[in-house]
Amino acid sequence: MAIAQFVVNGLLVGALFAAVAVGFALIWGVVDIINLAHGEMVMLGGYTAYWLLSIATGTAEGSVLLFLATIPVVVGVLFVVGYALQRTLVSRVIGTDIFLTLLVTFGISIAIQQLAIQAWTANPRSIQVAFADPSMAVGGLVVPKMKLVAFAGAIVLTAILYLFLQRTRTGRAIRAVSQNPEAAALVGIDVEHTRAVTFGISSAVAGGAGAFIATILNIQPQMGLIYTLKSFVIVVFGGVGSIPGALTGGLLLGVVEELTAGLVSSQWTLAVSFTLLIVLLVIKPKGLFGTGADNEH
Amino acid sequence: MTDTHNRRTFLKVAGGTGALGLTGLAGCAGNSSDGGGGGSGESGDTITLGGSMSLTGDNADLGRLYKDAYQETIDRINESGGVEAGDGNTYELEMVLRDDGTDASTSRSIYQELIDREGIDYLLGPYSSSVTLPASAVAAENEKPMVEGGGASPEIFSQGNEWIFGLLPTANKYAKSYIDMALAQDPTPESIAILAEDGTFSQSTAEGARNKIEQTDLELVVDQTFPSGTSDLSTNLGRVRDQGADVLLLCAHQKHNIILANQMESQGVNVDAAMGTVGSLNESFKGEVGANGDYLYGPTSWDINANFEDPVYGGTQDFVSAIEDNYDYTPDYHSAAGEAVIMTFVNAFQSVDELTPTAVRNAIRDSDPFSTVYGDVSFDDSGVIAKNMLIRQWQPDPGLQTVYPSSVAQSDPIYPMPDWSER
Amino acid sequence: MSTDPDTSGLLRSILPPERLDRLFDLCGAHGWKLIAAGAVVGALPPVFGLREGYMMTVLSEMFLFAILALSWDIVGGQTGYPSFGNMAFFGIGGYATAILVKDAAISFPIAMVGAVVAVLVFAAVNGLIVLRLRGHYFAIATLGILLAIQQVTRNLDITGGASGKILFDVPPGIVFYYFFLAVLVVEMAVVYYLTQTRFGFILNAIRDDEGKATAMGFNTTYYKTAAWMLAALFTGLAGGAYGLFNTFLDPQTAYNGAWNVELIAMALMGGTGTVAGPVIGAFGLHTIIEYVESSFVGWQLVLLGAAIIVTVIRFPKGVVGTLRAYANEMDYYERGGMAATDDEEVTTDE
Repeated sequence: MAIAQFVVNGLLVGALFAAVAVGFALIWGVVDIINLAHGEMVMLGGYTAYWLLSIATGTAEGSVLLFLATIPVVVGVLFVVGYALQRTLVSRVIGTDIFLTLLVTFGISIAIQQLAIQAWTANPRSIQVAFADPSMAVGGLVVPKMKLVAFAGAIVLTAILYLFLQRTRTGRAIRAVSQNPEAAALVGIDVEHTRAVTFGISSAVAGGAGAFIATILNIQPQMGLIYTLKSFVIVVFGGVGSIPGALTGGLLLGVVEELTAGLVSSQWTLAVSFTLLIVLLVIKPKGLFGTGADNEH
Repeated sequence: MTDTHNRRTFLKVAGGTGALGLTGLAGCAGNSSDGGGGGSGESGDTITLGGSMSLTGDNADLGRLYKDAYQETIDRINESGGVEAGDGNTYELEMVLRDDGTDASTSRSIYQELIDREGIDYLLGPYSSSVTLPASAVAAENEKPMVEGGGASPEIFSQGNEWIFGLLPTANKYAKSYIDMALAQDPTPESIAILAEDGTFSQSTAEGARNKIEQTDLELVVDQTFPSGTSDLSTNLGRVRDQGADVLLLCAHQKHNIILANQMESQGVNVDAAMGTVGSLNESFKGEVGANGDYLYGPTSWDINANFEDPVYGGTQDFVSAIEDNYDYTPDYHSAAGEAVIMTFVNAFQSVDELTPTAVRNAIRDSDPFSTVYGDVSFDDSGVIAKNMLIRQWQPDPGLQTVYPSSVAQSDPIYPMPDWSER
Repeated sequence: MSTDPDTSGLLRSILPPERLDRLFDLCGAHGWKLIAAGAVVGALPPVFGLREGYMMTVLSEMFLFAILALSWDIVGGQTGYPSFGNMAFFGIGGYATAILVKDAAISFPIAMVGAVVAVLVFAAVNGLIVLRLRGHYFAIATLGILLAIQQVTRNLDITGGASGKILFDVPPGIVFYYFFLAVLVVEMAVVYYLTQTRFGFILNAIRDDEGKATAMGFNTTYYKTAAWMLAALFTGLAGGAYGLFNTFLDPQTAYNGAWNVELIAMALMGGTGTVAGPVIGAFGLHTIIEYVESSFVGWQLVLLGAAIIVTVIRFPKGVVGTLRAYANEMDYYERGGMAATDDEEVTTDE
């Protein structure tokens, strides 16, 4: 197969990784937490979209527009979930031993996964979006339409997040808290609320990505871990707290994985991703664009 | 520094004694509803069958099929008076089923607990080869016969273990019937592609397929393994399309079958026949993929349309109705295999002179073929059932149809599969 | 456990801080004897008839988890480097013995030596990589290594790929019971000894403030690596035995993700940075998990997740740490009003 096809495949799916990773990067940069439950937000987003469609149409099938209509709802729901998690649980361990913060989000991740299994069974689910002709050929390359829609959706979500941070008051408050929480408090920013909002919007974007993932791959309760891990790789590459970094990193990771699968063998894709993580941590922990989290505890 | 250690060491001893105390408590408390202590497996007039099953986790849906089949069969036997054993007594049957969550690391302790504390002599095997392997080792060490309908990996039976009996054809046979079927069609396929998940069972199936392919004229044009954690088959499907494979074999489980169906559609990958080895024939699969699942094949070890005679249900169709009526779903080969597990024990109990594990094991091994809803059951020297897979296909109008071998087929396979653009 | 009267009122009436403190002092004076006593107590059950079966498996697994938790604590609790990838050592040890015993037909004891060598080499190599990182990055890097090793193992033929290795002719259960008990006792003795020496002091200094420790002239790299290798050694020993104990090893069992979390939770709940804490945490949590698994089918991991959350938020010092803080309440008055409640700051010896 042409390398171009691999690259295209990689970019298409990489955008989704990126959309998941930007939230992760944001939380890490602003709240100084590595959110090990981030992948579960993706999973919850996927299920929310799935159930919305099932309730609306009776089955998990629908037209593109109907599916896209669920995205704002998904975003809203996941925002609330993220906000609540931060406010009730995560806030209690901020500033303590990093080990404790890692564990709390890990515990949340396990709890959510298992509750999802109890509630929805471990059966994988997928959303069928109807197209008359599901894929298009562009210059000899096959591009499934839904993947293109997902790609666009991921980019849009990322862009909205970025603009939000740059242009709105809350966005500026978030950036202020990430730079210096004490100073931010001194100028009247409600630091707790701001952190919770950060968690909320990060989860919301991840959830949106999850909805798209439900259409082109599938969702099941334990899918989250892989996305959390990929987010690590991406954020370490792109830099903590950096959205452009996460976007670049996501697209690159997608391409690297597809090239590995295409040129070497799909057996090694995960091994390559994880090795990449280690290599990046060693040679360039501050990342491409980011300020890099402190190396001190 | 010394102050710190005073405290630490105090707690060491407290911990040590406490731990032993706790384990004592755990011992008493760790039992399930069957009441504490190690009762004997056949106290009074009851024989208890015990084992574990995937009641939660990834395979919970399939585990449930076994559990329901076991329960239904045991209830029926008890209602009609129990089992008349060869030693002259009549026994009621009881079942203890633990949850292993398809986690091989719990398998050992679960089965040991059943043997030591529940006093169970007759073991029901778990689902999934990776859990069955350590479980079968426990059975052998304790010399208790184990009959299972859920572990198909050939390694289970190649260890020289004389206490394990399996009701599924071994994994390497799963693809054999499919390839035979494809070769019998017109136009005859020339090339075949294998995509295999990197799990124990899927790799065994792929290996079996490769061996079979070598004996035919088919050319193996794609042979790829993918990590079971990934859910994107696009690149591999692209290979399949580029190589122009006529036949596609996916060695994986339900999750990947769903992706296969969907991604073949979205990428316009056309083959003459495609099959997934597990999970492509159940209703939840079809429910998720809808029309994308049409024309896909899947293997089954059970001819659901036959009417094999069975002492408990009467015949296969009675079994199907019983499950449909009581549990609201149509049974598949997992359910039927579950029934056959119970019947294997029952058949052995009826033929022994004395009810001991060794005698029962010998009875199972030496038994003549006996009929159950699942078909005829008899075991070869390594404990595997003598059976081959049948092939079923999702056909748009009538639904799931058995299409191979022709002696039991309900209809001919629709071959080749229509192109996506024509559907 | 806070010091406000409402929550600890009951405890106070039964066991006031001063009495607990004196109890600690008493036992501390006899530290080595306590370890020996524990070893004897542990060795007794088989003598009194427990030769095989379920109980033996449960106890053996308890010792095993205690080894894992304590090993984690050497690097995590004592040195302040929380590793999320200790199971990598476990798996490598396990596969090493499995391959040596099954494919090379080497006997169990010699295979164990081979496993130890393999694990130490691996630890040295990956220690070079990860010990340069701090905090979050260290944790993630260790997790990355664990996952990478797991994937690689799945893809190699020598390890049996995803099918793993089946070992049928293994020593009887009682051998493993004593093996795990012996390794645990030795490890407790080693850790206890080290914490009473300069070695332990420096590890704790690294944990508390690595910059300062380096500035004081300690060769932190040496000490970190030594702690890392020690943890790897014991974890690898446990893993090496486990493969045979379980008669079956596959990538999922050898690099068990659930255990990876459980061992950290055990150290945490028992009390990090102590000798007894991880052991108590291991015994207690393992017992609870076994019980939950048989009674509340399917809910064990939810409860584990919830337990972790609760412990982290309410009792971050774990059982031992919290009891110790409680016992130290009276320190203020005992030491004539010096404002110190944390032992480490008060210590003047060494």
